[in-house]
Amino acid sequence: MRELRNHTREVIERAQSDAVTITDGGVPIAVLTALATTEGRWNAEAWLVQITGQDWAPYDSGLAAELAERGTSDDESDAVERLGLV
Amino acid sequence: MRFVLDTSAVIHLVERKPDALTAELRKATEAPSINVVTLAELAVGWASLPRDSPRRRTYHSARRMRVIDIAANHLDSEPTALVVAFGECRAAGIKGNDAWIAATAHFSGGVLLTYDETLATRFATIGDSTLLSP
Repeated sequence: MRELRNHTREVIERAQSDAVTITDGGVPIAVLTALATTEGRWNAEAWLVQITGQDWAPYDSGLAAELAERGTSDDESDAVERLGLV
Repeated sequence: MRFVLDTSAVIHLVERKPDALTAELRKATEAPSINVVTLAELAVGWASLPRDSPRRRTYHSARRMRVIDIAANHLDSEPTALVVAFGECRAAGIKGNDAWIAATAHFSGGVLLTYDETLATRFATIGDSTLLSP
């Protein structure tokens, strides 16, 4: 899935450079959610990353650290929801 | 192009990320849908599997998808297009939960993505389906 990971990185970088309005300081899942759902646009790459999940995690050490700090479980989805990111 | 994923397609997408499936989904013009029945099937897996089972994450990922809720949207008046579609799917030989899942694709005019050969074959008699290979 190297291709998908490359797309993931590109989507995140593009979203951040486009200053997509988010409230989580650049957390990829929020960027991707915004990309996938705002203004009637739908972005296949963003959606794929959002759904397949794991690929965005390595690119955001801040999120990983925040999850660890809050003592969340190993269940990423639960943790992300508790943080109000989706 | 509009897509509806059956449960097998959701599982493959989330757990294996197969290139053939992701390539199909890149053709989509809107967020793909799942039927609430698929979410229910995955919820059963979530509830019955050990906490460290990777399959439990599949349910959480599916919750991020666009879910077609049968009861809230389509069963509140006269027999609706979705119910008619369900009947046509049953007539095509599609049984059980698959009939609701297929009806969602039939009702919405979407392409049904599945790894289930029987479902794909039977749905192809009334709509568009894409059979994916594991």
